[in-house]
Amino acid sequence: MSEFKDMLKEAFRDDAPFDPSPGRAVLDASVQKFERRMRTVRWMAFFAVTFMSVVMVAGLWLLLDASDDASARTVVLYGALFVWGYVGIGFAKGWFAIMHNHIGTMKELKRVQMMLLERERVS
Amino acid sequence: MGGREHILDELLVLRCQEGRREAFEKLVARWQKRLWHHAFRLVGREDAAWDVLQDAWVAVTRSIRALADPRSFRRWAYTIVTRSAADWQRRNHKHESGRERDGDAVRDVPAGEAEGDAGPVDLVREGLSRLSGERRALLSLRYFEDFDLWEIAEILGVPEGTVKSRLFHARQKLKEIMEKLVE
Repeated sequence: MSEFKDMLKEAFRDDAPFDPSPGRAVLDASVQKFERRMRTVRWMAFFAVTFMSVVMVAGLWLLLDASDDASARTVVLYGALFVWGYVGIGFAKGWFAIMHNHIGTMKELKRVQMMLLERERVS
Repeated sequence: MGGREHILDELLVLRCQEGRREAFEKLVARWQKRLWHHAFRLVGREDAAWDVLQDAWVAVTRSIRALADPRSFRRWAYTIVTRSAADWQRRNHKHESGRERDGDAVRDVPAGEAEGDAGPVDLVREGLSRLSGERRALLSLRYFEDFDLWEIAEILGVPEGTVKSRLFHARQKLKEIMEKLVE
């Protein structure tokens, strides 16, 4: 079985002629798509935080501007608007912080793994 | 592929998740050839394999941020290519690999067709070229890419038992074809 496996491996190694020339176009197109995608994600995040900031500031401004004779319902509505914006910003920032922390920690772990492997290889 | 290469891939995936263009470029460059071969084995045409690969990379850009475990990138990438190839085949209606879908060799194998001085590896290669795309892809995933059975099941979207039986049939078919070739 192992011999058969070795033969299969050898046979698969060059079973199809790989012409790398169309690969350049595929690479460029994919990278462009990736960049566009990442730009969209960044813009969406920026838009979400900006929108929530506007909501929060507007809520706060309306709340402070409400005259003494404003009804309790109006004050609660403005307060809710402010709290919604405030919590929204918190969530957006929290989500980004958690995500980047996770990626940062994973990267450090991988670097340590790599260092250990290198050390093992040298010794 | 050694442990170092795996870790390099994982680092590249993590950098891609941060949105770094150069990391994505490196990742594509590292995986292009292997994934193209997988696509080629499935669709059986060079130009179609590039189309499939292009679609697959687009799918990768769409969802790489959601990939929770960078260690699973290899399996994930092969799954995407397999699905893109299936989509391509659906779009093109008929299986255009020039080989029968069910796995039988397309053309009859004339007895003793193999060249006299062909080595065993050439014989296997010739046998593989007469298998259906699906069977070749399955054998390559198992014996060339060294995927576990459960990983292949995930890549192909079928139960593990099905993978086992398909592998058995693929090996049997290859054996039959090779026997005919040497007769």
